[in-house]
This record gives sequence, structure tokens and C-alpha cells, in this order.
Amino acid sequence: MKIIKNFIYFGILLSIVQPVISADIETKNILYNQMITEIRCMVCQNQNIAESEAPLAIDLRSKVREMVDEGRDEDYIKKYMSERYSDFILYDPPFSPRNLILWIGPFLFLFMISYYFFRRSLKK
Amino acid sequence: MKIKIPLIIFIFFIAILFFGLFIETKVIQSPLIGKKLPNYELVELNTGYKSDIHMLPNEIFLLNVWASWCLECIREHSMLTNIAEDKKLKIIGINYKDEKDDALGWLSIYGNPYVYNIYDYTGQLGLDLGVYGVPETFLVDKNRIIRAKYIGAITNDIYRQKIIPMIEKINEDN
Repeated sequence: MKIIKNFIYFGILLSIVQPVISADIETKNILYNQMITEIRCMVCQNQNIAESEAPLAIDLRSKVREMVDEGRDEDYIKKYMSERYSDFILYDPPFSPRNLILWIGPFLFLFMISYYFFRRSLKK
Repeated sequence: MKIKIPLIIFIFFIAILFFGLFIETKVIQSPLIGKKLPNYELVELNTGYKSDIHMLPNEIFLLNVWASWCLECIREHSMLTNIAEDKKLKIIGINYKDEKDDALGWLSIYGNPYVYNIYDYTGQLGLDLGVYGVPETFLVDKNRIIRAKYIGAITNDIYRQKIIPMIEKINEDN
């Protein structure tokens, strides 16, 4: 009788814990899948490491998996990669003085063009 | 005046695209230059003895990443042999993601210019060094600071025109 009781307790405990664990696994998988599409394969430069089967891409994927399982967040993983392979490894490079023109260039260009047309329409 | 401004913008834009054609994307400047060599705990390839950062020479040396599966490394090898015979610079090897027997066989065929080899079977040290295309070579000073990185095979030109002047500059600074 006692065994059955213990089994029931165990079952109740499991049903409480199980969703928590699977939710954790689920968020980790989402982070993992997101990260591997944002990291460039340095060997085949126009592919991300999710698409590439180059040995380095496989290594980097398992490194991302390892870090995700350790509970590291996105910033940590991105920093880990860019410290070793430079910002070039990130498909979404962080804002820095070196790539300033990439970020503001198009807006500057748009501003210049619209300013020009605005002036021209005023003259007319 | 009417036609001038769009023309200037157009030329400016074309100029950006034109120079973009010549940007070298294959060679990526390592963010590790000027930083200390990452720590590692691996074994020596031949003897299996433990090898870590403290066992590296207390002078300027080359750290060359190679593998027996790397064809470019064969081409580079005769140059490394020349550098070793020059006796100005010690070369430490990192055997990267290789089978031990293959690596030792490779050394017995082509000769061994390395003082010793660090055996990086998993590629973790390579990852810490940002290695993505073997062969790669690091110039490390006596404080274990990475001073330069050369991606691809070391050639005579790189040795004479880049590495030697770099060493002289480091020695002058000290």
C-alpha cells in the first residue's frame, strides 16, 4: 500500500517539475537556434553556422550548444565569438566607430537626397 | 549647378562601391593582437607530457597552427624549416584537430622544424585563438602577448619583410 502511495506522490511531483524542465529546455533550444543563425561560418563566409557543414561550423555549433546548456545568455555568446573571431563573425555587428558609416550612412544619404529635392521644390 | 549635385552624389556612390570591390574579406584582422595568449592545458604531441602556457619559451617565438590534413601546410613547411635553420626564431607548433599517428607520420616525412608541438585534438585552443583557416601563425613576445597574426602559409616575403622587421621593432621597444 505504501509503495503505491509513494508512486502517487512521485507522479504528482513529476507532473509539477516536468513542465518547468521542458520549458527551460524549450527556451534554451530557441536561444540555440537563434544564435546559430546569427553566427557566420568563417570558412564559407556567406553561410551561417546553422547552414554550413564545414568542420569549424560544426565545432562552433557544439560550442554554442555547450554555452546555452550552461545557461549563458545571448550577449555572453556573442562576446565569446567576437573576442576570438572579431565582429565579422556576427551577422548583426554591434554599433562601433569603425562601422559607423554603415549604420548612419544610408540615413545620411536619404537626408541629403531629400534635402536636395526639398530645396529644388522651394525654388520652383 | 542643376546637374552638378546629383552627379557628385552619383560619383561618390560609385566610388564607394568601386573601392568596396577591393576590400579583402578573406583576411580578417584578429581581435587578439595585443592581447595575452589564452591559457590552455594540453599535451605535447610526441611525448604526451602536459603542456601549458608557462612552458612556452621566454623570448619571441612563432606559434604555428598546422595539421596533417592541411595541404597548404606542406607548401609552408619548407619555409618553416628555413626559419628554424636560421636560428633567429623558435617555432612552436599547434597540431590542430589531427590524429596523433597522422601528425607524427607527417613530421617524419617532411621533417620537424618545431621545438615541440602542442596537441590540440578537440580544437579548443584553436577556437580560443580564432583559428579558421589552417595554416595560421602567431608572433608571440616573451610576455606571451600576441604581436601579429599571419593567415595562410608563411612565405619568404612574409618572413623577410614582415616578421623580421617586427622582431627588430619589438627588440628596440624593450
